[in-house]
Amino acid sequence: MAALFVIIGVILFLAWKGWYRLGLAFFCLELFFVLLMFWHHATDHLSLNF
Amino acid sequence: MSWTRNLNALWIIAYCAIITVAFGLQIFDNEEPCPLCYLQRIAMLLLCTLAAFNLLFGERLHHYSLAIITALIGAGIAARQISIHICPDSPHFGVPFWGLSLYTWSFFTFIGSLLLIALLIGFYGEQKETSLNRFQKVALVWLSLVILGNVISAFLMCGLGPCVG
Repeated sequence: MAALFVIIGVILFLAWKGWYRLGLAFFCLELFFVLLMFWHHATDHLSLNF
Repeated sequence: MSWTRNLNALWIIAYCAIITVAFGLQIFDNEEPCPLCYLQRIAMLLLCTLAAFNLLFGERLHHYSLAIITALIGAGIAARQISIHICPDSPHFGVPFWGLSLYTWSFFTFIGSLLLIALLIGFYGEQKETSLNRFQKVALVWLSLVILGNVISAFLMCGLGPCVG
């Protein structure tokens, strides 16, 4: 979980340095990981079937 | 418009205040955050990051479209947690605040963010202003500190991998 917060820090750092497109790319990657973790939690952890 | 930039800074400050209060509960009331709580914090910080993009690079419509997606994901995570505890025999997770659990408040903040985005898009105008006033700088510094605090907290609780519990 800490890795996801580290990526947010990286996004802010890139934005601060002016690396706009790389920042947006990391943002989309982070959003994907969040969805993945949410899916993992909803299915595996709670043993739900979709 | 400068007031929309200040509104973006206020958006960051509001979410930073919320997460700082959650930190207070975590440290002083031993309210350990669950994995879904952490995911909601991440969605909140991602919204703040997009507001920071608006401050640092000027407002752009695709920042707001990403913010809508992020707010919907955050609201979905909060709704999921509400649904786990909504049955009469299932108690709240954590201490309620003003009669509602923190994840219910979290859901309301994501809905509030969607309304704010609608307002900001309504007043959207092409502008390339990127200079920061003191209020906006404070918002960005506070955001950096909140991210750092969460990195440390999450690392101490679960390491770099996913939290289980």
